[in-house]
Amino acid sequence: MAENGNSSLISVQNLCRTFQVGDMAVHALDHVTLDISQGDFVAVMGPSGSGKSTLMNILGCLDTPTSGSYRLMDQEVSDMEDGLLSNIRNRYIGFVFQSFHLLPRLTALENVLLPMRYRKQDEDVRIDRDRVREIMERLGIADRMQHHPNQLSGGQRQRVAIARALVTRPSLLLADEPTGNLDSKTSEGIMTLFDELNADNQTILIVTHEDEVARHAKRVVLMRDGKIEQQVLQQDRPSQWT
Amino acid sequence: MSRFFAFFSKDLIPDVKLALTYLAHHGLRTFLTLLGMIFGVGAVIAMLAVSRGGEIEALKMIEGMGVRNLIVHDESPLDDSLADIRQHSAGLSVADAKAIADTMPFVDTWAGIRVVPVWDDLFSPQGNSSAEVWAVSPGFFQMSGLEPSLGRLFDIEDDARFAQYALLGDAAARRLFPRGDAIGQRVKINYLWVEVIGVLRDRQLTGESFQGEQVGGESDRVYIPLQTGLKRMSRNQMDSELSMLKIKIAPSQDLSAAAEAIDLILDRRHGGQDDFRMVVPAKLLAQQRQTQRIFAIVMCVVAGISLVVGGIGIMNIMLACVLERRSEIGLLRAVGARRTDVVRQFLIETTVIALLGAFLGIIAGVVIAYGVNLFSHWAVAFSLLSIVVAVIVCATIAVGFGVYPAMAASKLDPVAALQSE
Repeated sequence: MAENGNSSLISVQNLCRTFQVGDMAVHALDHVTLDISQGDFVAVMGPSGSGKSTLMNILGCLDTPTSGSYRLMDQEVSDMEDGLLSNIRNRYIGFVFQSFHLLPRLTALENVLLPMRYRKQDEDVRIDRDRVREIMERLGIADRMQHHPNQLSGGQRQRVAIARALVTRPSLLLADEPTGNLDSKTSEGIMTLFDELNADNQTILIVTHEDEVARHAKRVVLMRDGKIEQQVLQQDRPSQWT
Repeated sequence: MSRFFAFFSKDLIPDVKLALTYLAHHGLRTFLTLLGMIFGVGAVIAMLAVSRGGEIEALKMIEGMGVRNLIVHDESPLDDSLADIRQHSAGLSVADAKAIADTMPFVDTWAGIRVVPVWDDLFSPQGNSSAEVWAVSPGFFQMSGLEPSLGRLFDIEDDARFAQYALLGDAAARRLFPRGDAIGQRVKINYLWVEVIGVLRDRQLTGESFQGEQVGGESDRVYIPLQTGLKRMSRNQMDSELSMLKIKIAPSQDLSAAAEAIDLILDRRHGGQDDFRMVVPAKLLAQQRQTQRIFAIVMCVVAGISLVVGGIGIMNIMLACVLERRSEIGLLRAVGARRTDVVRQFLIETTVIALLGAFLGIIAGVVIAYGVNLFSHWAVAFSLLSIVVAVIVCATIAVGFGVYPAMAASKLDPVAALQSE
C-alpha cells in the first residue's frame, strides 16, 4: 500500500453497524464519519453502550460494518472477506486489550512472537531477534522473556501484550481500556509508554472512559448512542467532561 | 493433496508443541480420551496378529501334510457290519495303492501307513513310552517333510527285507532314551525288538490337528518299515491292510480332478463300500482361510466400533476444548489467524491425540496378542503393515472426528470470542 502524503491513514464515512436483538434492530454505530492520519493519537470516550468498542472492532477489522465506507491506507476494507481481513489484522493492526489476552501456556517471548506464526508460507518469517529484544527492552520486560504470564505482574503482562502488538510494526495500534485492570501508578507507566510510542510517529487509538487516560491523547472523540457527539483537540478540551 | 500437506507441515513444530502443552495440562482428561483409541488400535493390532499367526500356522500344517498330497483314510467300521463289508471289499491295501499308481500317470509317489496296535507301553533298556507305532513306506518321510536329526531314514531295501528298524520322533526318543544316544539301541514293540537307526527332527507345530485332520503328533511316534509292520506284527484278519494312504500328485495335475479319479478307482476296487475317506489338504487350507476370514471380519467390525467410539470421545473432548478456549481463539484471530489457521491448530491437536493413542494402542495390541498366545496357545505374528494400517486408520478417524470441533472453533465470531472469559 503506497504512502499517500495527503490522505488519512483511516477514513471512515457514514459507518453503520446494526445488531439484531430479537425483533429489535440496535444501531451500535449510526453514520459515523472519522479521519485518523498517520502519527495521530486518538482517545475515544463515551459511556458504555455508546458504540466505542464496536467502532474499535470495525477499525481493527475484527468486525465488518453493516453499511458505510471504511478505507484503511486508501483501501476499502468494509467488504473484504475474512482471509484478507485476517491478513490486515496481522500486518497493519496491533491490539491491546483490557484483560491482556496472553496465552497462559506460552512464555512471554512466545506470546510476543505469536503474530509471526500467521505470516504466509512463502514469506520470510524469520524475525529479527534484535528487534524483538529491542522492543522488550524498551518496554522493560527483556528479563522476563522466559517467564509465563502467571509469573508476571499486571503491568508486566500488559507490557508483554503491547510488545506482541508492536512486533509486526503495525500502522495502527488499537487499545481497548488498556489500563482498566491496572492500578493508577502502573497505568501511568503504561500511558507514558503510549506517549513515547506516539512520539515515534506510532498511530494510536485508545478506547477508554477514564479521563486521565484520554488526557494523553492528541485528540478526543466523544461518542453517545452510536454517534460521534464531539471531536476536539486536547488543548481545546474543556477542563471537565462528563 | 500437496496443498493439504503443505497446510499441515508449515511450521509444524510450534503447533505440535503447543498441542502437547495443552494435552499435558489436562493429563487425566487426555488419558481418558486416549483410552478409546488405545483399545481400538490395540484390538486391530491384536486381531491382525492372531489372524496372521493362524495363517502362518495353517501353512505350516498344510506343508506338514503336503500341499500336493492326497490322503486316503481307512474308515472300516468297528461294529458287526464290518463282516458284511469284507464280503465286497478287502479294505484299504497296498494293492489299492499299486493299482492307483499303475493307472494314474499323474501319481508321483505314494506311501502306505499302518497304525500298529500296541498292547502295552514301548520299552527300551533306558525307559518306556506310550508312543504310537506307525508302519510306513520309505517314501513317507519325504512326502511329509520329515527329516532325521540323527542317524538315517529307512530305504526300500530295508522295507523289502522286513528290517527290524525303527525311527523315533523327537519326544518318543526323549522318553525311551532319557540319557540320549538312541542310535543303535533297541526298542521293544509288543513282542518284537527293533533297532533304532534314526531320530526325526521336531517340526514344532503347536496344534495337533488342523480342520479336524491330524497333523502334528509325529514327535511322539515310532516309525517302522511298512512291510515289517505288515509281516512281522500280528494283524486281525478283518482289519484293513493300511490305515492311511498318502498319494503325491504331479505338479501339473489339478488336485480335485485327481482326487475324483482316485476316488472312482477306489470305489470300484472296494465294491462300492463306503469304507474309506479322502482328504485334500489344499482344500482344507481354503476352508481354513474361509473361517479365518469370517473371524477377521467380525474382529474388524468390533475394532471399528471401538475406534468410532474412541473418535466420538475425541470429538467430545475437542468440543469442550473449543468452548474452554474461546477467548484464546478470539485472540489468535485478532493477531491475524485466518479461519484455516484455527482449523489447523485444532486438527493438529486431534492428530497428536490420535497418534499418541495409536502408539499406546500398538503397545496394548502387542500385549493383548501375547496374552492370547499365552492362554490359548494360538500362534501370533506381527507385520509392519498391520501397524502402519492401524496408525493410518486411527489418524484418519481422529481427523475425521476432529473436523467438526475445528470448524466450530474457526466459525466463532472473533469479537464475541474475545469477550468471553
